[in-house]
Amino acid sequence: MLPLQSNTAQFDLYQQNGELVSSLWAFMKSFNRTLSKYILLMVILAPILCIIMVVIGVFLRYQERKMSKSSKLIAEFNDIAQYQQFKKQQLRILEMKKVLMSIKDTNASDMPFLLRFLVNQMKDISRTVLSFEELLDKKLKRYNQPQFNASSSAVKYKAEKELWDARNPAYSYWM
Amino acid sequence: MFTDHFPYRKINFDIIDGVITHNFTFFAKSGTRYIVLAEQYDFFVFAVKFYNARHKNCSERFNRLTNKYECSRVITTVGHIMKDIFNNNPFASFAFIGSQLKDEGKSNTKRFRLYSRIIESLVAPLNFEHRPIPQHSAYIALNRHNTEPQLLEKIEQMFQHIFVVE
Repeated sequence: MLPLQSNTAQFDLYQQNGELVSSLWAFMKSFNRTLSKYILLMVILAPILCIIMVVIGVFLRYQERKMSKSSKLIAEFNDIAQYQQFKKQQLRILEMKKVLMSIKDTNASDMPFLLRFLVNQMKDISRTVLSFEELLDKKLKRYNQPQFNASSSAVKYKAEKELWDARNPAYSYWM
Repeated sequence: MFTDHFPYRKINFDIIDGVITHNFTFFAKSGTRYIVLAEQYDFFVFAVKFYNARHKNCSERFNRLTNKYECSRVITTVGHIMKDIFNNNPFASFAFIGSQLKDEGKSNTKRFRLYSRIIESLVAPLNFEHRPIPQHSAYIALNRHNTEPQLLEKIEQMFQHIFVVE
């Protein structure tokens, strides 16, 4: 099993790229909304914007390849400290899920021609981050399903997710 | 909260009807002495109980309140005793009952609500599967590393004499 230390970098990579894409998406939307009112300014700025977008697009493609290469290094947790770190990192990725889903579901052909290349790269990154999030969820599946069967319905079951959501983060685990 | 505990020590152990009872004791800040019993059943199930040593001979020793306002540290000490047992026996599972107060029914007691809240927050689901039984104010923290087949069903059967699981 891999120690978490080596996976922290992997988490950071996915998290940083997810955040980059989400903020870029918000920026693009507001930029598009503002500049669409000033067509002349848009025409003047077009060559500069084109260069910037290509540079960002190439950078995103590079990042996406880097993520794809590391996708097999899925985080493991062997003790409580690692589990807590895993959960915190997973939650940070989960926070971006909604935005990443909307980017993934965007049809690039509906976008202005200049933006298509960039949007396609953003879609790829969103897809990779979302598939990583699914892998993280699978990792916890074992703790979210009952391992032992009860013969009585009086015996309730508390899943890991339920316990994590209800717990006070100020307290550290005993065992 | 729930980090500092009172220093405790193991006194001895008794064997009554095949059940090994590990006896621990500690003094709280108020000077009150508490006794903690960890009854070891089959499949490494430990039923944890505690009471004020002054109530040792009282039949309701598990139901009585001390009114010393040191509940969190007392529970933390019991928690650390459980941790000690787990460290010595990595297959240990735990069970407890939140006994009722004077004017309270047997199901979902105040003590049960408090203890289960603490256990849920402080015992990670990594090593233990959490199984509350509110109907009987009981709680079982099952050790995930224990590979005994049908473990929970066996534990349920075993505890039939303590509370009837319907």
